[in-house]
Amino acid sequence: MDYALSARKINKSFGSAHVLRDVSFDLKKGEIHGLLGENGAGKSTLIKIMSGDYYMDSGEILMDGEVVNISKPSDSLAKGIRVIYQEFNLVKTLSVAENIFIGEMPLTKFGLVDKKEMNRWAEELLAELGIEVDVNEIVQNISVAEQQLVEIAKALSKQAQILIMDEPTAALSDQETSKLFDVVRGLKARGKSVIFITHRLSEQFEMADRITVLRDGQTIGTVNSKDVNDDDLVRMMVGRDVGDLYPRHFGTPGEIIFEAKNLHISERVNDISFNIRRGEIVSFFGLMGAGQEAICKALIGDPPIQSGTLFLNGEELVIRNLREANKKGIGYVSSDRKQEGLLPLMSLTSNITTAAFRKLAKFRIFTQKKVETKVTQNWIDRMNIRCRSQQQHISSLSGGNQQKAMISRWLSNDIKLLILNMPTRGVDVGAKAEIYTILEELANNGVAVLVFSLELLEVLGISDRIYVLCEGDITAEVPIKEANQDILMKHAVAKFLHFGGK
Amino acid sequence: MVSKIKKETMTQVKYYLKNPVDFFIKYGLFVIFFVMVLFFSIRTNYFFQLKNFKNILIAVSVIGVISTAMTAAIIGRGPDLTVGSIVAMSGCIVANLVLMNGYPWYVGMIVALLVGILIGFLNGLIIVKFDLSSLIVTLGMMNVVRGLSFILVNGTAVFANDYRLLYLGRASWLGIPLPIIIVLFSFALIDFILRYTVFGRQVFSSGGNRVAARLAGINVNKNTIILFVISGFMASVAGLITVGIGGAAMPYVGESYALDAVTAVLLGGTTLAGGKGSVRMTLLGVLIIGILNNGMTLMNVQTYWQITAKGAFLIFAIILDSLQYQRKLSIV
Repeated sequence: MDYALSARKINKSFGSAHVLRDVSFDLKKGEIHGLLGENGAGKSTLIKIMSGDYYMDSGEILMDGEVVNISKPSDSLAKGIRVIYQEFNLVKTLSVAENIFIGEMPLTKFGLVDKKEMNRWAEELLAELGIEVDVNEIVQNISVAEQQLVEIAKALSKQAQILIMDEPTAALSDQETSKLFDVVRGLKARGKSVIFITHRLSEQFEMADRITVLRDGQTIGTVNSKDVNDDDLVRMMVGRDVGDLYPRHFGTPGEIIFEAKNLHISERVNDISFNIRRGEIVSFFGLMGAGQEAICKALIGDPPIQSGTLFLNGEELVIRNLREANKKGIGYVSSDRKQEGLLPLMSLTSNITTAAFRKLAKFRIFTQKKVETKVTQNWIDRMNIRCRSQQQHISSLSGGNQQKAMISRWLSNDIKLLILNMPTRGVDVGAKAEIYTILEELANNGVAVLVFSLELLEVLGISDRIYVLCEGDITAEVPIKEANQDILMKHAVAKFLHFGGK
Repeated sequence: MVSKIKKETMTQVKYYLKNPVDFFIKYGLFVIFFVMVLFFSIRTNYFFQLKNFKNILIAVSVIGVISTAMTAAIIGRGPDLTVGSIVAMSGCIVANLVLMNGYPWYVGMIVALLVGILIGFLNGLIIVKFDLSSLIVTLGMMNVVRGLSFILVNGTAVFANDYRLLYLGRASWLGIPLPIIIVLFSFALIDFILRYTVFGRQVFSSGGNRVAARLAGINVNKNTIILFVISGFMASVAGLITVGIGGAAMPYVGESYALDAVTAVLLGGTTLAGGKGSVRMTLLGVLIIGILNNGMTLMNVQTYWQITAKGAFLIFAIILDSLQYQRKLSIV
């Protein structure tokens, strides 16, 4: 049969790094095809070859049985291939409709933009996809999930045959994800082919008809998603059994080491109280925008809490600004690694030591390369950061390894409290398990580990105790023994239910 | 070990033979430098002489001193375009206080340096407090300071008839002209600060990702102000040298200095986006501009062509910068 798209023996190298080796796979018409692999397995490169960002060194791409030449993005677009990247390409100051038709807005006979016509088209398109967004709304005013849907609508506004989605659910809550899935299933029903990339195995099973696994730049195999289970896929991805993804065993927690009492953070987020015991990992679960960001930022004093008290080891802790938080040993791993974490043009060493420059310096002024190298190497070994050298640019590492570096940044600085906001966002399964192990080790060593997460399974897998957030309030405190998906979700939407559903 | 290094070098050589563009992006500055030296040496008799090299160094000393701080500023935040005006103002302050109002020479010099620091501080403060682009703030300050310079000396050049005011520009230590010593010292100093101090490392971090640096506990705002203070100070030092070399305080001097310095810095591979760069490579950029001016003068090319050539170099430098940036990011 003719495939919508076939990749045959694709090779691609960057300098001496052979990123793709003889990669082949077939995309059927009207199929949702999952692409799976650890970060660095070559998925992104493969996508970029199909989108025309990169040109392959050898191999061929066939569409409908004919060899096609995709050497630049416009070739790919002309063939009906659309890629939706993790980072959206929307102009935030323009309206939804303007974004959808950017580059080909309908014109009046005077050559001006025909706004009425454009809005009508946009409304039709969105209705067809079952997306409920006001086409006049400015993009920066709509939620991340809605932006994602607009991005899809934009891709489909031009004759799209193949849609490639790179981690489409990374920033979405479970509710929003299911909405997205409905839209994608609708596309499939209309005969479009979808390449679907996500680390979340459950989503692959839910969505994909077939799944192709890549490892180290090679195709490991393509399987029918009905014929396999989690363990099979993980084994294919990492080439070994990862054991339990969540390594946590439940010890007996000690005394309270960190406590927050009646924190008033903003109008919306107030009267927050929680505590962490020695050797315990505490998570905050909530839907996107339930107040996670505000609480994280308040704990590091950016901006500080308006009222309330913090205690560390029984002593009152005053955090008025970021530097004070830093001095008192509070570390923060941001959910937005690219914007708020990475120092992009710099080496792994600089990225790891940046919060501890002064501590590692002689007389706190003169840097000591030897010490920095030693510290960095220590973390590379302990965290199992995979890199070519310490001098390698952080941007060229995979998401998981970047995240390990971001955590190391704080650990070289003697931290007492580590706050992690979505610590495994954009991180592959293998690295996820490693990060969980690291967090557990930290907790056992007396660091207060506070995890903010949108992922139910993660929260259930790693925490000893879970606080549930909804609309800026803590709606429940659930010990792990009593926790399950239903209970957590119920509390996470508690306030919505109260007002008759939203 | 040795054979391993040899092997790595060989793979690199092979890689660059295959990808000459990458080679040029990385080592182009050296190529340009040697080609220019070679060209002028062949075309003029006077170029390749020790005495001429001394001339080149003295001629670039002012730009050189400015470029050191400019490199740091661009790495950490953004260019400081006020420097050319500070050069003029520094001389005019000396002229006003010492030559027109009879204060002792050292009072004039100290006040000039303090004012340079103050202007830098103001620049930094405004940029930080209102979260503005350094480009625009220092562009505005450039005219503010330029105007004040003219006012200080009533719009005309004032000849410096006090030998102590000429000392920085004309004296020699151990046969080496003082401007050369000062410029080399400036390079060594800023290089040391950037590479071996916590402040220097923080400057790189802040330039690379301001938000991330701030969240990592770095006082980005304080560092930014310090960067512009250093820049203002270096520019006023350069102003004092200028009085010495020119023999007069001139309110119109140095209009092109800021752009010359930016050109030198970018030629040296410092990224306009911040976070990456080196003062040592800026020195090479400065020398290239010096050699260009000197060589063209020796070949009796009109001065106007030198301006044009420098402009072309600036554009060339940012193209190179952009290419480098793209390549770096495309290697996943």
